[in-house]
Parts: sequence; structure tokens; C-alpha cells
Amino acid sequence: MTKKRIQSTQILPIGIFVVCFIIFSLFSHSFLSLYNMKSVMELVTFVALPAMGLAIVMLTGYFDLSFVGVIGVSSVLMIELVNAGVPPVLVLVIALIASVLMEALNGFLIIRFKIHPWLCTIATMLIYLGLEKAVSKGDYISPQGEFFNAVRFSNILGLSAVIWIMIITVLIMIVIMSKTTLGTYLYATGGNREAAKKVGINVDKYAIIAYSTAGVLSWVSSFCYVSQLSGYPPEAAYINQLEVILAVFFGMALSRKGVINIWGAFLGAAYVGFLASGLGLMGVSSYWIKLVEGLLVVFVILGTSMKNGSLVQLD
Amino acid sequence: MTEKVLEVRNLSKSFPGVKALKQVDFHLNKGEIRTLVGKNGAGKSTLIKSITGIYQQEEGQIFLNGEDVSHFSPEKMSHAGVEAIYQENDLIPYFTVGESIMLNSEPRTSSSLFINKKALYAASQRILTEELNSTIDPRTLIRELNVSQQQIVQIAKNLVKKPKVLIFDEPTAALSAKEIDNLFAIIRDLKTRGVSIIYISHRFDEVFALADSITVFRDGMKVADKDVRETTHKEIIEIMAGEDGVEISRERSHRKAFTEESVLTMADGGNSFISGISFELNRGEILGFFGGEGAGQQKLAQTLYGMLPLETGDLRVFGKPAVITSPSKAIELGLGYIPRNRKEEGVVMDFSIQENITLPILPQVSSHGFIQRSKEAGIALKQLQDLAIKAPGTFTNVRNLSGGNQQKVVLSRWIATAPKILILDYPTIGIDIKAKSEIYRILDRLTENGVSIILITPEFEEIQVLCDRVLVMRQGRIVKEFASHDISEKELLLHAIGVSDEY
Repeated sequence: MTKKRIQSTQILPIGIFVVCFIIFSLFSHSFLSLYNMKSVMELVTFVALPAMGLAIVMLTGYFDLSFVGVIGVSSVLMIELVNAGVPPVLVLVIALIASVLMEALNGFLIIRFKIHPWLCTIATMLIYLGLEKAVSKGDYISPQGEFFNAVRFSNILGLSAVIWIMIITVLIMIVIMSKTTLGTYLYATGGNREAAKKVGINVDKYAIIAYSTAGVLSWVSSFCYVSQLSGYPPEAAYINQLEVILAVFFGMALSRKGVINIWGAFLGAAYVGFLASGLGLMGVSSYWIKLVEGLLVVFVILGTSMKNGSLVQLD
Repeated sequence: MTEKVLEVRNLSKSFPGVKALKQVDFHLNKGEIRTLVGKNGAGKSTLIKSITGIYQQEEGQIFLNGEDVSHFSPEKMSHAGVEAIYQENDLIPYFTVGESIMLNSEPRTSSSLFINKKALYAASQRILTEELNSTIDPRTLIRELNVSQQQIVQIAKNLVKKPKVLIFDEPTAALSAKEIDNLFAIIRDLKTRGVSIIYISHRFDEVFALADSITVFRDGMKVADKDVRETTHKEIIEIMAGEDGVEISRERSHRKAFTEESVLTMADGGNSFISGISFELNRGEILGFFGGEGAGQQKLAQTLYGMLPLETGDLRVFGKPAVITSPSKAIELGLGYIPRNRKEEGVVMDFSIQENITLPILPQVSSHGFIQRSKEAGIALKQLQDLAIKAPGTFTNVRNLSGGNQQKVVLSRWIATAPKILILDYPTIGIDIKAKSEIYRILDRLTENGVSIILITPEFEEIQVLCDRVLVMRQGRIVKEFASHDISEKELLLHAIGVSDEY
């Protein structure tokens, strides 16, 4: 009875993706090259990691814009501490604690003072971006020493460490969200807050946990930024903010139940990454890329929102 | 002399599974105040919504001043002069009083490009002072007003349209005695100016103080039209209750099987919603709570379940003093709670049946935080069979189930926790008769196994069929206790409405 079949709502996005893929490979011989695939994957990493964090916050019923600032602060903190001679392991631990605290603060403010999540996280975003700039002085700053370079130039089974980090994080997050009580409680809190309360779930606690998890993912992202870019360009994560948000919504539109989920956020990030890369390689002028991306997204969303009548109805 | 403003002829309306109105004839004279009374679901609201154009009737006609307005939309009805003020207000909190009153009737500047604010406030001021005798400043924000003042704004907003018929749907539910007097003065004043009023209320003292005539509804039918001077509380209640419904098969097989072993005792419990509550619940008993809307039953349930604080009095669960500060504490003590709003507070729509059922007992089906899906499915499957939940499997999304089956999922969620005390708030709301009787059987079976149940229900049948005892609540207090075998619906209503002294 549990039919695992592609639903009509998913045909359009998958179709567009396939068509784009074919066009890209026909018109650009370098699109399908191994080198390009790897660089696309690296691009996807920077969208997918924060997208998973945002997805968790959103499926719990909240929103987060501040992750771009958290990634920024965590990155410049790592660089400055390494340059100050702190051992790398300690650097990572300190950056992790800072990232989690910065995101947990969002949860605390939103719950304790009932601030709207958008308002709260825009404010903290500005604070964290400001903090980032105060440390970096608005410059591209780089870490000294071998640690981050070793990560950047590592090669495990042909893939760079950053790509492995993404793959492993996706797997861990999928397991947590689908197989543990934690994941179920987060979904229950977002799915029906009142019902969750009445079965004895401490919904406020899980809101804080959701934001803290986003903090962990921001920390992982910042590690990837600093390693892959050998430093942190000013507001690097901020530039990708809309792509991250897009990836989460896209993933929701792609999912069978129409629910925000980790796998969807990853697919959304991949979609965004492949489109950007393919359009670029096809020689579409960078002036037009955003326009074309936008149009494709509108088509896909139109397709998925024509839900009624196409879903299997039971009763 | 009497001029019919509104006339309804032979009106019928059904919803899936229910015939909400059956060939209703109804009329309203110019300058008349007519009250509608009847139990929940008797058809009052459906009639109002048909008159205001929200519902379209299948059969019958509506005339306004002799003109056929049978299939008018709400906008056209409003234009024709029929306005309704519902219980829940639809004012925008950050608008000013003047803006709210004149919404969609704003005076324009001479260029007609802009709103003429000066004229807007002058016009709203005039309505407030001259027509409603109120001192509210039209430049105040809505959110700065109290409930009673907001209601006056609601009325003012409707008066702008110069209505011929004004409908009030239980307007006094949130008002104090003084505010009610003020509202009545306004309504009487409207009457002298030729506005015809339809007034829905559950409070008989109001009905008799205000109305010229009373129309009684029962089971979707109009059963009586009475002049208020020629009838009594007692007569109206008798008509409301009806003479049928006495011979109901006793579905509860183990009635009186409960032992006199108290599992939960409250002595003189109270907080801001309830006061002086004393009762005890016995093992295997179904204890009913009956009362009008907002009489305190829900608040009591929420207090027992740790969602509202118990400020005074004493609570004992299984003989031990209990302080229940949160639902999780209540669950620890063996309580379960099924709220009335299944969709808003019961099921998680995006979850499967099995995820919904195991939500409160997730740690029990998990090891080291990992959910053991096979164990979870086993528990869910047993419930699915025991409760005859109609679904293809335990992975089915709850969204795809009917209301009755969703309710069974919520029930089985609590049965799976092996509760000792279950609090149910109108568990059969909005579900069909077959699913209802299945739920009755489930509850009956639970009590056989020693579970004690607190059942809040507005349905007399449920009290008669299911409950061992029933406590009647009014204004946050328990006013009467009945044993199930000697309740009559009339008596129950009399105590709930609060006219027992005159009976």
C-alpha cells in the first residue's frame, strides 16, 4: 500500500533539472568533466551545510538569517586564533562553542522575549556581521601554518576533504532527523506545537536545540570556508544567503510530503550549484545568470504548487 | 402594524452527514428584538449564516422587506442591510477606533484621491457619541480598548452601514454585569430607532430581560415561537430539551462496575478561572463534566494537566499530594489529555499514524536515542487493530484520515501510554455516529481495565450513555452533582444555565 513512486508534483523539477543537465553537457564540453564536477560539489558544500542548519530551524517552526554572521565570526575567530599560535584542536573547540552560543542566543531571545524570529535574527545577523568586520577590519584574512592548508590539499579517494565533510554531515543529519527521538521531537514541535506540548514535549527546549544545531552546522561551514579559500573574504557567507534560503524552500517543494527536510535541503543546494555552474560554463553572461536562475525557480515552484488533485488521496 | 422586515420560508441546509436546518420558517418584525435559543448544534448558527449569505441554502427563500434575497452573497446582504456581530471580533489591533469604524466607508478628500481623516474622525465620533452614547475617543488604538469597548466599536462599525437587521451572536460571553447593562441599553435604543435585532444567547436571564420574542431550535428545526410575556424559563427549557431521547440503549455495559477507590481528589481547588472545585474520581469510573461554553470545564481539565497553575486548594493523585506543573509531570503521574481541537492540538498532520501514536512514549521504543521502527510499528499495529482504525497501514499520513479515525489515533496514542486517568474534552466532536459509538465502546473497555476517565461533553446523550456521575459547572464552579441514572436533560440544562431557583 505504501507506494513509493514519483509524484506528478516532482516531475517538473526533475524534468527541468534533466533538461538543463543535457543542455549543459551538449553545449559545454567541460561541464561533465571530472574537474568541473568536483568544483561544483565544492560550490554546493557552501550552500548545503548552512542550508541543513536552516532547514532544522525551519522545520522546528522558526527562522534564521543570522547564520551568515555566525559563519563569519567563527571563520575570523579560527584564523585569528591560529595566527595567535593556539593549537588547531583548541581553535576548533573554541569556534564551535562560540558558534553554538551565538545561535542559541537567537533561540533564547525568541522564546524568552517573544521576539519575531525574523526580527531577532536580522538583528543578531547585523551584530555578528559587525563583529566579523571588527575582527577582520574588512580585509581578506588568512591563517598561517600548515593545518588549514593540509585540509585544503588533502585528497581522499579523489575527493577533497571539504566534499567528504559535506557528505558525512548530510548522512549524520539525515540519520538524526529520521531515526532518533531528537529528530522526531523537532519535527513534532514544528508540525504542531500545541499537540507537542500536550504529549509532554518541552517545545522551548527543542527550539533552543534547533538553533544550537544550526550553530554546529555554521561552524562546520566556517571550517570549510577557511580551509577551501585559505582564509575568509569579507562577508563571504552573506553573499550566499539567498541561495541557502532558496535551497531549503526548493527542497521542501521537491519532497514527497511537502515538508522541509535535510535531504531536500541538500538537493536544493545541489540544484542551485549545478545551475549556476552550468549557466556559467555555457557562456551565459553573469549579467543574465540571476535572471535565468530566477525564472527556472519560478517554473519549478509553479509546478509543485499545483498539488491538489494529483496527490494520492486516502480515506 | 407589525411590518415583517425579514422573512425566511422553508429553509433547508445540510452538511455532509448532517441535516443542519430542516424546512425552517422564521420572521422578524421592524423594531423587534428576537432571541434564538437552542442547544449546541440545534441550528441557530446555520440559520444566521444563511441569513447573512455565508451559507447558501439548498431549499427555501429569504425575503428582506418583501424583496427576494435568497441567494445573495455576504457583500450583497450587507449592502441590503443585514449585519452580524460574531463572538470573535475581527478588528485590526493597530488601527484606530475611527479607522476601524469607517473601514471601507472612508470619506474622501475633494480630489477623492486621499482619505479625509478629519471627516473620518468626525463621522466616527458622531456615531459613538450620538448613536451609542459612548465616550471612546476615535483616535485610540483598538488594542488599547477592553473587550467591552471593542464590542461597542464593532457595533459602531455595523451602524455605519445603516442596517435594517442587526444580529448579535452571544455578545455577552466576555462581559461583566455592568457592561451587559450598557450593551442592553444600546440594543434597546437601536430598537426604538427601528432596527430589528436577532440575538443569540445561552443565558436565559438575558433572553427574558431583553427580548420581545423567543424562537426555539432543536435538531435543525424551529420548534417554537413564543412571545416573551407569555412564556416561562421552564417552558422554554422543556421545549429545548424535547421529549424524545429518553429511551437510549445503555451502551455502557459495566456501569457502576467501578470501585469506590479514589484515584484523584481535588479539594477546594481554584485559580483565576475556576474556584471552590471539589470532587473525586474513582477507579474505573467515567465522570462527566457538563456546562455551558466557558463554564470552566476546559480550564479545570487544563489545570489537572499542568497547563494552568492550581493556585488554591489541594490535589491528590492516588492518595499522594500532587503538584502538576507541566504536561510531562502529568504524564509521569499516569494522566493523559485529549484536547477538543483535534487538528490544532491533537494530531501532528505531517506525521504518520505510527509516529503520532508513539509520540508520548518515544523513549520506550528507542534505545540510546535511536527509534526502533519495528517496535514502534508493532505498538501502532496493535492499536490500529484494537481500535479498528481504518487506514492502509501504520505508515499512512494522518492527514489522509477522516476525523473519526484521526480521533482514534489520538485516543490510541494515550492508550499506548497505559494511562491510569484520561481526560477527554469532547472526544466525539465533528465525527459521525458510527465512529462515535466505536469511541464509546473503546472508553467503556478502558474502564473495564481500571482506567478512570474525566469526560467533558456538551451532549446529553453521551452523559447518559457513558457517564457514571456528572458534575454540572457554571461560572467556574461545580453547582450540582447527578448520578447517571437519575438525570434528565431538563434538569441538567436548568443547572447549567442557572435558573434552578425558579424551577
